[in-house]
Amino acid sequence: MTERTTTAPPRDPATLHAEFEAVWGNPKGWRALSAVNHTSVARRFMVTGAVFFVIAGLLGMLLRAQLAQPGQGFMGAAAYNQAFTMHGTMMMFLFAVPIQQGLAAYLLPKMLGARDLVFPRLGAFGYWCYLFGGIIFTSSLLLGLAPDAGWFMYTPLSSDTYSPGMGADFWLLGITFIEIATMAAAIDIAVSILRARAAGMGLHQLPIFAWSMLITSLMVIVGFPPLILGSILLELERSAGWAFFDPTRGGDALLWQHLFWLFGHPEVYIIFLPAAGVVSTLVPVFARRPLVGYRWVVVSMIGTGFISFGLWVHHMFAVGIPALSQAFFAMASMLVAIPTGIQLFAWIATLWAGRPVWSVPMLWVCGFLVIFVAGGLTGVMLAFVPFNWQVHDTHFVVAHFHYVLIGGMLFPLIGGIYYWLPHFSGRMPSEQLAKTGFWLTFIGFNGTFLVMHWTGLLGMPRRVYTYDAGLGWDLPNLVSSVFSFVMAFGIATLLLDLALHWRHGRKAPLNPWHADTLEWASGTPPLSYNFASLPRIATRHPLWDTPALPETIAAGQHALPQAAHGRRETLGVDPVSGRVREVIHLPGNSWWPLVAGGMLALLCLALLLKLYLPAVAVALAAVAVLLRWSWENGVHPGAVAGEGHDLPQGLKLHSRTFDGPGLWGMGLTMLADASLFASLLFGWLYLWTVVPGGQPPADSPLGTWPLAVVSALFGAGLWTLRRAVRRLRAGSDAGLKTHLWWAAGLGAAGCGGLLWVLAHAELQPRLRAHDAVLNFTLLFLLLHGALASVLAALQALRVHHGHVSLAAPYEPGVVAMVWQFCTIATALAWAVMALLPMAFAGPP
Amino acid sequence: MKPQVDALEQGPEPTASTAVNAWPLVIGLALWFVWFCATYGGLAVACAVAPPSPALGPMTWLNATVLLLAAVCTGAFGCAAWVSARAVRRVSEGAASAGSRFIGRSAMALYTTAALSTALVALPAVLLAPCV
Amino acid sequence: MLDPAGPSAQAIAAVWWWMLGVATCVLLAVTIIWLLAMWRNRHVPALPSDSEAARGGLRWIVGGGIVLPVLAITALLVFGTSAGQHQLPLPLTGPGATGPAVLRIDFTGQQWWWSVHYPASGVRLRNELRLPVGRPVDIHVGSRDVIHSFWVPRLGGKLDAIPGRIGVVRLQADQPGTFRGQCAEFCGLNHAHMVMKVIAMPAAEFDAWQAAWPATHTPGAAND
Repeated sequence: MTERTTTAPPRDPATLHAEFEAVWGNPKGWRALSAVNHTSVARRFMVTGAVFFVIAGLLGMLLRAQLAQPGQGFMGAAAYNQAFTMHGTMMMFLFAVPIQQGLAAYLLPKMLGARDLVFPRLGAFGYWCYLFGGIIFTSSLLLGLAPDAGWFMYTPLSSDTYSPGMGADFWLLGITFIEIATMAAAIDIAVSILRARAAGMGLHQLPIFAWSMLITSLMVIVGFPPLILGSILLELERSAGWAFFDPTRGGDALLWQHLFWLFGHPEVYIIFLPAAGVVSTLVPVFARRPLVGYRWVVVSMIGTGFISFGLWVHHMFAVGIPALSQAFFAMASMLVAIPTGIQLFAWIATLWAGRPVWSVPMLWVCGFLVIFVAGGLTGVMLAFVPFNWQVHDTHFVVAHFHYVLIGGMLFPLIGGIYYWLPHFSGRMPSEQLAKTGFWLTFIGFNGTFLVMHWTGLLGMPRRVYTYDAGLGWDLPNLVSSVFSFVMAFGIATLLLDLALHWRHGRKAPLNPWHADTLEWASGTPPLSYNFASLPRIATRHPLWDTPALPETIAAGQHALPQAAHGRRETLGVDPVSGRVREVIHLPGNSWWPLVAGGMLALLCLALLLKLYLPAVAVALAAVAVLLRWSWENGVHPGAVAGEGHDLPQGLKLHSRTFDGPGLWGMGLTMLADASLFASLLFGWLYLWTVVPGGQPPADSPLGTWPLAVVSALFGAGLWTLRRAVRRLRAGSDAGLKTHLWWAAGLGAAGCGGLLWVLAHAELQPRLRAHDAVLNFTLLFLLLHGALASVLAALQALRVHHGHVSLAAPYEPGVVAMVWQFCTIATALAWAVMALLPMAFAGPP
Repeated sequence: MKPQVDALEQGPEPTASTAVNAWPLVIGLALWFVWFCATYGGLAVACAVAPPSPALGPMTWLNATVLLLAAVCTGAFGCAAWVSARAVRRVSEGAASAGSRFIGRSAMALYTTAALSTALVALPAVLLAPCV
Repeated sequence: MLDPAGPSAQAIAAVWWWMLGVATCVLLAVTIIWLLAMWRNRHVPALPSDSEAARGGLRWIVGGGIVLPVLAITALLVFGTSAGQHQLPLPLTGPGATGPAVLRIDFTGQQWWWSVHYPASGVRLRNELRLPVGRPVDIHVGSRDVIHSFWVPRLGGKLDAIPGRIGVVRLQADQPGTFRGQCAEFCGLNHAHMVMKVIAMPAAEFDAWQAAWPATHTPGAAND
């Protein structure tokens, strides 16, 4: 069923290419550091992720070498503790999530028929944060100062009493820095999937990989903030002595565990779902028929995404929480296996009804199947609480999670890398070397980790640098260690294959796997602008249904087939139906991401070295850089060329409308903020409930009314901004500047109110966790209120310079979202932290 | 530069009654998460403030409350699933409304998932004593 | 935990062997089905139509993705739930619940040893637990510094020792002997060496030992 998709007369592809390359091409030499093109940024993410994978893998080899025999002196306890902490942390934070975000950043615009992601500079900034943060974090190994309290850093072990060195600070500061990259990429990817697609591509036609990345990105946005909050609180405890997790001062050690695992469980599905999306992409291509059960798979992934937020206490079954409460988490943990099983059988059904072809990517998918299903089954076992009590914190768990992570993420990732290798480089890998690499890795992996289940059942705990002889643990450990070397050879073979194929691989044909998705029409290797013209998509399988698409695209026969105006453009669509709403214009190469990333790296170092006064100065400078960067937005000449009078009928540039990527990006950022604030409220209520004698005093140090007044002030500012936007929609920009200055003033008054509360509350955050939480909350609200006021003031300045007006009415609505957050957060703080304790005054 | 021929071929703009949004895909399980936190948190607070005697086993007011709330929410999710199913049946066949049908059917499946998840997660309250 | 010496460990081990059996069958079945799916249509002239594929797919998805897990999980819960009751410090009920209250033993973890105290008799030990065969004891687990975890695999599951709270785990040994316990929550440099010895003695012998303490105090075992 072919649809008429071409309506413009063809142009000479060579001329068209030159025109686009002039606007989209990357600069050469050292100026390439200012590139923001998604293909370049994504490649950087993937290569960097691979480097960290190798380092973390080598650390794993050291661990296995030490455990090969009982009582070995190869590594002492201190070195071993650093090694396993760094191995786990690097694999989880510096490899698993960033490399998949990199793959998504590379593939998604191409699969969706767009020219770039919607926030190119944000993505580039994310990369620099990842690179600099990763270097700072990894350097701790070279300095012998690596964190050594385990990748999940339980308190009180990770507090400054029991981990006095810099190690834990490297973790808390370094990983939080890197998380900026993860959050930025997630927001970029989510908004791009929702709003920047080919015309006509509805939600029901999205490639499954796009669905998996959309769900994953939303999970990142909601799931990472609890950890970010926990890390900030722990760092405050370590460096400023504030009490949060110290039971002698009204805190609780388990608060950290709740915050960590609220992040930690969704994290493993954040790692798995993209890989499942890769499998859902590869299986139909190699089965040579569409995926059976598309809707089932989508619903399963959404279900997994949500339910995974209800599992976190299954990491804490040995802590002593009452049995009924544990049972809720046990049930949910078993239920989550069902959506995964549904996806598995959808793949089986697809193969069953197709005519499958073997290939190197399919080898890896089959390896994934065996290993991941085994891991999933041991996961269901672990969900059974009494069994968990025996094997929690033993090598059984270590075996389980390596099965699900390596089977469920690494194998599909490698399969995907082999599948898209011709796309990255234009060349095919070596069949022989690739197969050897697969079998060595598969056999080595199973040899290492299968017997490890047994080791755990024999009673060997995890994170022990050595063990006594004669317990029956000697032989299993030796077997694991020997096979770990086999696996290492397998990985080395793969890397060799990848390295060699750049030189010696035979050139790949245009669509070597005869795939159905659109990325194979963006050139192999891809063009900087992906598509010379943007086709209308009406099916889930564009290249199967319209095989001539690559030619018609290159000949400029579809939408937006020109770049002579000097703008980077792609289509903005309605998220559900795919109807085109506007043309999104994108910024070109810019140095702001690198500069801002560099400033944050300096801030991270200053905090690490405990140089607090310089840190304040650097922080202010960083804020200034970020605000100056944000100035080059919208209709600013640095952000867009030309006026957009030459667009298809009825369409405008997004900054001339009331909607655009920034609105959605700000919305998702506020969602993340809300998750962080909700975690804070949870912490407050948790400490109140759990700590003996932890009830807050009846007359709150916050007073009865001040926070309500502050909330009202922020609310008044919000109302003023909204009024300005309403008037813009009605066609008037009279008094726009006045409204904005009023809002800024109201915000400043609100901040003044918060400062007044801080001064009068007489809080003692070092003595009591209760006071520390209140103090932190006030500072949090102050920071947000200040941000909202500054943004409103900047808007007023932009009106003055003509960047915001009736012709460019977009930005005030975006800023209003920050005000919305401030108003609601302050009101909630008032209700939960000031009013609620008064309602429960006195002993229960 | 002459303006582009309409390469978009979009057809008429959707009206308020034909426009489809994707919220139904998210609301069901988001509310399930709220129920889950309320149940777990409420149980924790009740156990801290007024724990029933362990000798009662599962026959306590606390278990009854948990099960009642779960039953109400299961029912609500079930209703939502049924409403989605009915809405899908009213949508015409054909490529133009494929998107609405997709959202409607997926929402029905997700509300059903929320209903089953609520019921099954709360089931242990029938067997286990709280607060021990 | 594969060589249980008490009711809790026994019950858990039994469930483990069943789970292993079911999991192995499921893994083998899924692998075989997948490989079959990869090979069966190689030389078939006509592939199923889209609607046939959808119907067949529905059978796979519902049968394998929903029915199979639900059955397995239900079986696990129905047959396995009682396994966890042994470790909970529930009040002893039933007509036979006469006799002395459950013996309470306080275990306090600190970096990197266990301080053991029998409040009723005043016995104090270090890295050692003695209990009577056939009688349940309630271990009250706490910590003076970081989180540790009390675990004797042959007797039952573990319980974390968390500073600021006391948790209670009920253990019972059904045969005399010496068992090994090890701290099971990473607690710093010498976590690997935080080991304890558990000695189960026939009930009469235990009572005698407890009454005669500290005369039965063995030097060189580093008792307090």
